[in-house]
Amino acid sequence: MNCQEALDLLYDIIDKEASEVDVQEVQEHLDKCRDCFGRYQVEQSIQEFIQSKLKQADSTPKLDTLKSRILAGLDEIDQEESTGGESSVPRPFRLPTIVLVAAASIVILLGAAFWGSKIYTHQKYFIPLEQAHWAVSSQLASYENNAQTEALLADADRNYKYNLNRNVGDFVLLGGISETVMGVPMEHFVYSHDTDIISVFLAPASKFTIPTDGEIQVITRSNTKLFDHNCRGCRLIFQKIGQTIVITATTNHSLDLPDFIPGRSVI
Amino acid sequence: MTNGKAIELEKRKAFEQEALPHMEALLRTALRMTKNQNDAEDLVQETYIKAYRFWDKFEPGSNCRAWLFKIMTNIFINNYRSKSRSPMSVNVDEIDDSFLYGQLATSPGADNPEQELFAKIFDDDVKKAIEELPEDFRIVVVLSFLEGFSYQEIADITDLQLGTVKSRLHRGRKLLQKELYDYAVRNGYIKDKTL
Repeated sequence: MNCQEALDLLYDIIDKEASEVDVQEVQEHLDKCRDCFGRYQVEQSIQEFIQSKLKQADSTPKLDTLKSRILAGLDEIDQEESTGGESSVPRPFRLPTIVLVAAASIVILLGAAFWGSKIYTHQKYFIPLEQAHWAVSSQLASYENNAQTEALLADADRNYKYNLNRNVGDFVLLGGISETVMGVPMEHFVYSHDTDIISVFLAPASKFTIPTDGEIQVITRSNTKLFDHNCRGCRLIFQKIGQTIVITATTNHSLDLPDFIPGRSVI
Repeated sequence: MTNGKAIELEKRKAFEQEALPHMEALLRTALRMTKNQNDAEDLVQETYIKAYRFWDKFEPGSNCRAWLFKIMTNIFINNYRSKSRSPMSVNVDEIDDSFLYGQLATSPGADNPEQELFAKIFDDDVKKAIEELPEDFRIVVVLSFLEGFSYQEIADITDLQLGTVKSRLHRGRKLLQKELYDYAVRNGYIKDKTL
């Protein structure tokens, strides 16, 4: 083993990721090479130093209060689950409405203060979509899979040339309604799985333009360009398919929304 | 007692036994991720609430600690990471490997120049240096240095490729050494030789 080969393994060895054979060979090299030995020694002591300093407890660990907060949270979940079969009903949103209203008004206030800023973009485009998505919780009955939904699915096929799947991964289509968001007529479909809800909006590209400014990130999934808005309150994915804008929305950030493909174009 | 309630109690007991002991570790990592006590506590609480809701998805006997860190890292990346990511002021690729070694090895006199330097650096300085790292690097550095997760475990926790984990760890390490060096120079502990 030469010096370069020995140094290439430096961090693997410090992180205890190197194979036994490698460790053996490096050891043999270090026995003969003073330079490499010095470098290994210094790197090892830097590593030990940093780790020991990092592991020193922080000055204000409030573990007891944190633990009681966590236990109270668990109690709440236990209660929810034991109060008679409610767990079979999707519980779409985790924040009480009042928190949401407060959050929305804070954003609106900030929006007024920073007119023309990124927050303004958020207020203009994202809050209406977010609110339409949140509104699902109070109107869940109107999203039930019924004749209206059948008619809407047929409309989606005909008017939007978009064929929606009834099942997307673990998610099942609950139903849909027509509504106007930001002055644009949209069809709003709702999917659920356990306690999670995903909204799918279909809008005509002639009336709705995907916002590309503000907190929008362009990402690519299976060669498709997606416009991703990910904020603390909700996540929205915009996509243009033919003459249709497909918008998916959720408030659960742990869902892989970019991988949620509600349907396909029938063009 | 109904059968359902008995099952609930069993679930709660198992969760408290398996998951709660990791609270301290989750909190110290949450502190380095969020850089703030309140956010760190919220993050750990959210992690436990979510873990409890999804407890049936946890495979008994598998690594509960890594599972909790995966949930926490996920929540952090999605909900907590700062929206305005400041551009890096230094180009990592311009920093030499073993940066500190390079600077210290040429120091005259002392046999163990690094030990003299370490003696002057406080605990909080190292924590601050870690917190200065860009988020992508910071997450892997903390999971490795502080929590001792293996490269593969970090890849599983962060949903990154193994190679990406190694490269971020390597770059994070270089930046960290550079920050500690700059800190020591600023405080007059050592003389800057890069000038």
